[in-house]
Amino acid sequence: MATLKSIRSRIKAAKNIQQITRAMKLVAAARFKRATDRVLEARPYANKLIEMMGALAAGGDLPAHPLMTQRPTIKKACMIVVTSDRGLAGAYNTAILRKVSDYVAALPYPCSLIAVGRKANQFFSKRGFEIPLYVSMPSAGAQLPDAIKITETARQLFESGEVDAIFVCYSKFFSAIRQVPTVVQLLPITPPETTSKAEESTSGFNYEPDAETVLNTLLPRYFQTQVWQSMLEATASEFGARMTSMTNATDNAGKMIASLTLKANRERQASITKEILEVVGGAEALNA
Amino acid sequence: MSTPFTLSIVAPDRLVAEVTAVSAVAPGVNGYFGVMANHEPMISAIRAGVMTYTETSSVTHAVVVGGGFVEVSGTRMTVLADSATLAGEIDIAKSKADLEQAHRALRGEDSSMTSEQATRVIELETQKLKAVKAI
Repeated sequence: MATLKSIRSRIKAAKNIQQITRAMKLVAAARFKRATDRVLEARPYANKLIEMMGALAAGGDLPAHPLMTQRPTIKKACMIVVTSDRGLAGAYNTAILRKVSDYVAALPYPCSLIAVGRKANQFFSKRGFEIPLYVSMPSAGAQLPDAIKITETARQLFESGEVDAIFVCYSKFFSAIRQVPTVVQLLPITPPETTSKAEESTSGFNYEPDAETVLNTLLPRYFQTQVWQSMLEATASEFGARMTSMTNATDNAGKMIASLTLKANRERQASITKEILEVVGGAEALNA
Repeated sequence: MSTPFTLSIVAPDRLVAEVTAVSAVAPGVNGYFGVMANHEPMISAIRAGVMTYTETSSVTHAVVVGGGFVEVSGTRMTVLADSATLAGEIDIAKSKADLEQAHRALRGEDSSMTSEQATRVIELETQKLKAVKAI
């Protein structure tokens, strides 16, 4: 039977934890707001770029470009894994790491990894994966210079022929409680399917100054935008996951405090009753 | 009266404008070009410069873009700019300061940016100042 003193110390501990989780929840909520704003602001650009790629591909007769050429055999691939630096975000990191592990295990060729976020680096370097680049994911969210660095490294790996395909795995953001780990192939670029009907009628575009120049500047930008977009989505997902898990933790701590308080009160009442009984019993013994 | 068309200007960080315009002028790599409705479909690379467009209300706006692409197809024109600033949002003092810093970097007095970056900054900031007629 727990003593009153030990129950009270547990209540105190639970209250301290609740205070911390509540603070973490508030911080995550503030950053979550900013991160979702960034995702939403960046989406129009990414969508337009995808639309443009689709229109280009539908227009047909594109000149061959190294970034778009499928290599006959894939000997090695590289996967960009976007996780967070810090834990306490529920199943956020676990879900991505599991997805990547499963995906890479199912590939018929070896795969190196570009780790974004300390969690990915830790997990995969322990398991003996080759990690050509590691960038951390600052607690304020993804940074554009990091995205540029990743893009450059990945392109260099691809263009030097060291890898024949580049994938990215990140947590696609739907809402604070729903994030889905997704794997997308980045290189070689596969033009998106066009869904709009208007595009069909436009048979071929005029390129200014010429198709090659346009592709040379468009494709790298397309690649970089995709990397950047996935990092932004991952940031929003991370804070969403953290906010949800910290809300749960705070609620659970509250429940625990309530049940412990009840227990403590019962214990206190029991000891008071016992003392009264002792006094009454003693008095009666004297009277008898 | 000219036929209107949809014009959207997007930068990586935001949607700058989505309007119904009657004409637009963009800084193509090979020189400025004008676009009106039913222009031939084309994709053009653009350089840093001042882009102008006229709305159906015949109000003309200026946007400083920092390179990118323009896609024109039928009744739609999309500008994908690396950066875009409406003329009204240009901070003249900041532009001048950035320009000065880039000049210093080019002279080797400031190591915060490479000469390549500095050239790009000079190009962009000069266009911004031109747009607001500050130089």
